[in-house]
Amino acid sequence: MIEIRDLAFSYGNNLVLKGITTTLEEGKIYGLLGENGVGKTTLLTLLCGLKRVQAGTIRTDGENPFDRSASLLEKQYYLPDEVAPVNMKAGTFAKEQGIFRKGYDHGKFLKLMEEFETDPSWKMSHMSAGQLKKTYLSFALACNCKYLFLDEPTNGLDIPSKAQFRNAILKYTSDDSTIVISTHQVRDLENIIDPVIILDRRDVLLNASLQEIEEKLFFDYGTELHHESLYSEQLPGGFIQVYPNTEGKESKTDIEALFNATHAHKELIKGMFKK
Amino acid sequence: MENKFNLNRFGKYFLYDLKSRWSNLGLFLLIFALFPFILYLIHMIFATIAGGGLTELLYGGSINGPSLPARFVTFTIVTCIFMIMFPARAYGFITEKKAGSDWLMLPASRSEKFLSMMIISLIVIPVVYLVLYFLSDWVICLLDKSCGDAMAMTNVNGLDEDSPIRLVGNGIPLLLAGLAETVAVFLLGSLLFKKWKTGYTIIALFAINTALSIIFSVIITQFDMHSFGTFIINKLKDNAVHLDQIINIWINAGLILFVGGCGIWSWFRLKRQQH
Repeated sequence: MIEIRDLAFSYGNNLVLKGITTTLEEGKIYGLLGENGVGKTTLLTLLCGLKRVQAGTIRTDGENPFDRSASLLEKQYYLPDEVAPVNMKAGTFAKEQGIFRKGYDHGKFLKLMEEFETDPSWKMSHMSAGQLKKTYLSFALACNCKYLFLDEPTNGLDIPSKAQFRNAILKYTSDDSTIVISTHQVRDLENIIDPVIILDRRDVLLNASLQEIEEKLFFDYGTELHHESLYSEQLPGGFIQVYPNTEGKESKTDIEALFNATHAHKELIKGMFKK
Repeated sequence: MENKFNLNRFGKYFLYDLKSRWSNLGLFLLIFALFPFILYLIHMIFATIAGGGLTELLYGGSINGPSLPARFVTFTIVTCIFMIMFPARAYGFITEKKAGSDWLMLPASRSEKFLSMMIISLIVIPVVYLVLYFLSDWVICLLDKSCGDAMAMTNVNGLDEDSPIRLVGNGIPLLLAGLAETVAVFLLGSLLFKKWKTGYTIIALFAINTALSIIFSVIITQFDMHSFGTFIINKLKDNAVHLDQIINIWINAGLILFVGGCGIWSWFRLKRQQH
């Protein structure tokens, strides 16, 4: 479990995160959403220990990630948005890095590479951005880590690869893994992320499971506008609207609409989901 | 303790580090270490074209290879350039975002990574370089007798019989100590500076030396240096029998303090490294 308490971080005078308090539980795939510059990548790098918290605390299984202890490093994998094109074959890279991780399964890596239609005998420095990303994703999943931090994992992936990625995440991660995916491409991950974290400048606006969201908000795909609508957007043949679910009706979360509704009514949504 | 240092994990990491350094430094090391061959070729070409050697060759004469003093001067220059340049090429990537993040997130403890870095930088690379350099010089001298003795076979103390200075161990300990100091400070520079690592280290050393010279010259003018000089000379006379040992202790203490100081600073730099 990852516990974040009163976390603050700034770049010089530019305060990015302030007073962030939240808990990331085991066995969940968190979708970390937010506008540009709200600190999604910063939060991921703080979680994995690449940056030191300036105020507050982060505890991953009771450890400070910035201590970068070997045991904690082995339990986690951070995949940045931009990855290094190492000058070696993908299979060799995975084997050499995998020896440091007890859970690493080379067979699984090869299987994932096959599913991503990427050849492990290719040199990584000769790969396209998408192929490189798929190689790193295959390695990340083959490590069988307890904590997986993925920053914009679908950036650079073509349409079939995005579907392959979704399948791989659901198929190849264990039930007790905590996965945090930071993304702008909410449609790419709509069916796999649960819970959703919406980050605002210096604040967490929402950290709730889809079930909680659907209990409190109704996503209406009808043709008539609702007077209580927090957000509405015209679609071909109707609207997508979000409004408080006062009648306990069932609906399916549209994450993009949820994100826009949250940003339009920050305090209201924050108040609704306050635990 | 297991988390801080594990011999098995260190062994794996050391081999991985060694392999990685060879891939990004191997060619660079070979170019410098095999410089005696390059020097020989340059010398022969210039001696033939510009030194009138062509005429000698036409009349059945021969051209002398590079002399021992010329080879010693070249060795000093080439070794100096190599030792100040290789630390940044070997470990400068740690301050780069992509490669540095990968390195920090590799599941090995900081002490394992640091120890491996120190062993490779201070021992493995300089020793491999020196062995290859002296070996290639020996091969040149074996093939062309006009070059004289190989550097490794030369009694350094016999070069100047009139000199009162006698180098212990044919100067090898002094050479290794000088190399260790150079590598330690340039390794620290490659961890401290993000760009122009070697250049900034040279500028920083120049600035520190200038500042220290000014400070000491100010201090010296405040004291009665004549009495202090007399005191030192008397002390040296009293201990003339043990003078070699005293100098040896001072040199070794300076070496340990300098290399140790740079090492400690590098350790804390790695500890605080963020991306």
